[in-house]
This record gives sequence, C-alpha cells and structure tokens, in this order.
Amino acid sequence: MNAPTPLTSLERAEKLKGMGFKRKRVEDVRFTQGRGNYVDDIKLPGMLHGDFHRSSHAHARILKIDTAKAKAVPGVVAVLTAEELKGVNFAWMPTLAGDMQMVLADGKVLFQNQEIAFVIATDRYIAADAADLIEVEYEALPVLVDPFKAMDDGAPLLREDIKDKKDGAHGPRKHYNHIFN
Amino acid sequence: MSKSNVSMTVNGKAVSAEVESRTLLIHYLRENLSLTGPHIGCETGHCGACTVDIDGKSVKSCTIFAVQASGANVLTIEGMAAADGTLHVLQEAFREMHGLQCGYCTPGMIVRAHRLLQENKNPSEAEIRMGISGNLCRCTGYQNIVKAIQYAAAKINGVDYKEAAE
Repeated sequence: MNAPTPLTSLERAEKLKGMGFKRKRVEDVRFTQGRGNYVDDIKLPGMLHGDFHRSSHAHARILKIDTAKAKAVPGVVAVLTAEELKGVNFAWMPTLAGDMQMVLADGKVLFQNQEIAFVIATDRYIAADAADLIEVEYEALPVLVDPFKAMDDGAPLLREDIKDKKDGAHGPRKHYNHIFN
Repeated sequence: MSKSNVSMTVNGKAVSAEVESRTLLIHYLRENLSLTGPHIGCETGHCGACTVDIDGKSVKSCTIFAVQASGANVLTIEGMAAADGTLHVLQEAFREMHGLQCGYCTPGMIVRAHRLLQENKNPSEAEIRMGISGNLCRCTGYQNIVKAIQYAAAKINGVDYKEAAE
C-alpha cells in the first residue's frame, strides 16, 4: 500500500478549517467602539454603589468597629461588617484551594487594605465619604513580611482559626500528575 | 456638597448638567452621559483606560474634574466611528491586526492612537511605543497594538502596509 502524499502546511490548514488562519474576531466590532458591556458598564434600575473601609494595619486584632457616623450620612443605605454577614451565614466563604476565607474582617485583619466594612449608598461619592467615616479600633499584632520567617518556630500566627491544622488545604501538597511524583 | 454647572461638547453634541464640583470627568461621562466606552481601570492615572481627547490633547479623564472640561470639545471612543456606523480606520486596524483581546484598554488605546497620528503622521515603531506609553494593556503585550497603529497610519497615508519580520 502506498503511503499517502504528505499535505503541504497550507493544505493541512485548509483541511483543519479555522486553524492556522488569521480570523477577524466578531466581538472586536463592539470592543473597538466602546460597547464591551463590562460589569461596570451595566446599569439597571435601582442599582446602588458600594465602597470598602480597609485595614490600615497588616496584622491586628479588631477591638471595635464604629459605623454610626457612616450610617448617618444621607444616601447611605447599609453598612455591612462581619457581624451583619454572620446573620446570613456569609462571614466566611470557601476558596478554590479548599480553604476558608473571611469575606469582611472577622475579629482580625491579616493584611493591609483588607476589607473591614462595606458601605452601600445611592452614589459612589457618598459611599466613599461614608467609608472614610468608619472608625476602627485596632490592637496591633506582630507582622510577617518574609515568607521564610513565617516558617520559623514562634513566628507570628496569623490564622488562629487553623492553628495546628495539618490536613486539607494546609496539609502536605499532593501531586496527582505523575510528572511530579 | 457644592454643585457646579458644566457645559461641554461631547462627540459633537452639546451637553450640560449640574454636578457636584468634585465629580471626575470619567464619572460624568460614564454615569451622567452613559458613555461607558472610556473605562475605569486603576483610578490612579496609570492605566489610561479612561483616555479621552480634549481640545486636541489626550487626557486621562480620571485625573480631571468634569468642571475642568467646561466649554471643551471632548471626543470619546463612542465618537470615533462615522454616523452611518462605518468604523474608523483605527478601529478597523485594531480588529484586523488583533490589537485586542479582552478589549478593556482598547477605547483608551484607540483614542490615544488617534491623537498620536494627528501629532505624527508616520510614526516609527519606537515613536508609537513611546506615544502609547501612558496606556497599559494586560493581554496582548503591545506587539499587535503597535502593528494596528502602523497599519492605520499606512491606510491614512495611502501606502501599503508591510508587516515587519519578527
């Protein structure tokens, strides 16, 4: 039996359809005209604006969150903290890596700029103003800025909720790909 | 909060509104005028996704107040295509040369490139790279954006576009 004649690269590309060809993208017509309709571009009736009050500490215990001044700003609809989220069982959420993380700081902040409170208002400027008026009382804790020092005995413990936990997302890494075994 | 009256021409249309004096131009364009082509990427003046053209200059619209554009002639990406819907040569060029993926930086890129080609009709690759250095793209790596601008420049100048060997 004769071996089939090898195809030229052009013939091969033609047979594959679509592959190896330059194609004009359909969506580029609207993207290049500023009609991408990204999430931030969507406007629906009754939509509100949100802004965060964020941590000024890299590691601290939260002693008190005072949202009274923020709530008093005209146009502010709600101010959420971990306390409010606990009421709807949403203070912590699962991560893709199988861990859990705080939605809004719950008792502690673990990094600078961590979200502590969320302000919902009728206008983005009002939301930002009110977020600035939130007062947080902190007790500063030792910070960790070096990943190697994080492994030292007696290193500051950030995640008290998983202290001594050695399985699951915090256990030894398992590789399911044989290449790495 | 004190209010100010702003009147300007945006994409050839006279517009006017009472806004808080501290309203940034990007918020005025996006929220009051519903022109959501200019995007808010970084809110710090770095990324250029909010770039618009004001009286013949490229301006990052998150760095100025709406009142500072009072009386000005503003062009956003929405004003680039012809009234009959025909795409501007730069819009065609970005599509043709795959100068975009997610498209978030594209409105700012095109409006900036438009001004660049007014300032320099036949820019070199280095001049294009310098000319768009205020606009960040996180998808394409600029290679095809530069090609798109070269392609558009060639079209505008009526010469054949020759892709440089890589």
